[in-house]
Amino acid sequence: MSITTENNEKMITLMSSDGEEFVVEEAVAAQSQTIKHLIEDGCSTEGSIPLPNVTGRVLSEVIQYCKKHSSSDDKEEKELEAWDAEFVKAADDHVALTDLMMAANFLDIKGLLDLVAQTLANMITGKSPEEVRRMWNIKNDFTPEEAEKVRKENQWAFE
Amino acid sequence: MAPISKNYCWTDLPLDLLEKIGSYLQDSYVDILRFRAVCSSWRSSTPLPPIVPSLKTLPPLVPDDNNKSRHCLLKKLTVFSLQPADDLSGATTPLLLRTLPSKPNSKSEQEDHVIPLEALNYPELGAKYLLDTRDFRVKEIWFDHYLEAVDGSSSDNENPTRGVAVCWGDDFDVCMVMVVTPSSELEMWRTGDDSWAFLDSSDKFVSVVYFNEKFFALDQFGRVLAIDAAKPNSVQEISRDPTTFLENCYEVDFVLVKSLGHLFLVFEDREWFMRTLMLDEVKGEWVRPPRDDESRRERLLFVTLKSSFSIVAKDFPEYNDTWIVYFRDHPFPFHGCCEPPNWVQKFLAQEILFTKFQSCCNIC
Repeated sequence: MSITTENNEKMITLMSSDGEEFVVEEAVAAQSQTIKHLIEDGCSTEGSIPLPNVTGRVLSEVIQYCKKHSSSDDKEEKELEAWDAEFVKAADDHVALTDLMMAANFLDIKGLLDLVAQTLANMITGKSPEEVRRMWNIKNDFTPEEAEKVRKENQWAFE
Repeated sequence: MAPISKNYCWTDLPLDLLEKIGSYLQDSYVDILRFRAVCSSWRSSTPLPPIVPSLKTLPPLVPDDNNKSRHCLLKKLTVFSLQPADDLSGATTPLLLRTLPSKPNSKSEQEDHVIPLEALNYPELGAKYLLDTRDFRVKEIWFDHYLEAVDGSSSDNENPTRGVAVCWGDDFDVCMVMVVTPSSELEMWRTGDDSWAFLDSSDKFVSVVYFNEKFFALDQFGRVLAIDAAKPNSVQEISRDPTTFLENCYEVDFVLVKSLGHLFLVFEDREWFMRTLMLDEVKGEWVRPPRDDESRRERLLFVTLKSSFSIVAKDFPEYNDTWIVYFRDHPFPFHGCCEPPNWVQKFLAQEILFTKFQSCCNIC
């Protein structure tokens, strides 16, 4: 059954911003609403689909996610959740999750976007602002007026 | 393979994506507060929610045809635990703080963002003491509901109920609320109802909690009724294992406490001994806490008039056993039965009461 599907499946070539080409089944690529619409509009007939916002490193992670999600059905929800957790943990070692999030946003893959947003939120949970800034090298760019508002907001008083 | 330099380009992330990350923090006031304190783009992506949020608008407990604008607000009180951010070993006993019900004149406080709280331990931290939450790791460890009566023009701070328990639907759009009114009656409201329904009983109730799809209503004699949230007409009395009754021992004060997946009935007898029974859900009966690992997991039960709560004892480094801590606003008379750890002694200095849990449940 799966062999026939593979044989009948149309292949699509995706090209990353740094010129790397990925050949994937149409069903895998169509996990991305953006690519799906490009295919429907006939943009895939002449060779490859260029993705100028996504590097090869990030695209390879995205494709891993799409492959898994195009081959699983809803019944395997529990297993898929566990796979997602492992996937995002591994992806964090290879790429910046912010890049993965932007790619998921550009390619319009809702499941991946939610997964990465949730993961980033979990990484922030329980940390002080200074710890978060240090973790991701974020600049404290508040103006003196804003900084004063932040200070007041964070002030707690006892009765 | 060359080492991969991970460069998080937060500056490239558009506001709507930051907002999406912020939306996953919405259950936690503190996490939103901190998220907004990192940098200006994070701050502008997500607004700060109120610390005492109004979750639902309900009909007034006492209907009044002359004043149609009267209603009740279902609000949330939170208990926070704060640990100094520079204490990486976690060796400091955390500071436990509880938000206070909002006051009618609290608007100016909200504008100044000075959040009023009570310090549950370290009571020496007195009035007007300010702390900067950015110096601490802050966790929300417990929350409780309360009802605020609103009479149209002004908000009445007086808590109209003695106990509030809420069963939420899957999506938080629907809920079922059970309260003990000031006249000790049990009333119930479900999303869509125009008014509260009175639960027919001759009992005088003292409190109600929601636990594992049931409401548990406690009366003044320690009798507990279990009311199925799905079938509110199905009321079952939780009986007591007869061996837990003692001869010549009258019980005076009772309280229900949820703790780490169990429901406890804590009470004090006339001889000032604390007793603790645990709900056996299968039997529908109060039993002595069995000596398995799960139920003996070390926990701290905090018993107060406004709400009772429980925390995992290992979060209190000075602490190595299971204790019940109760506060001076509770009517239990003073009783202590063994040497308390340092942090409990701090309570004692403030006439806050304590007793040891495991020795107390050994009823023989």
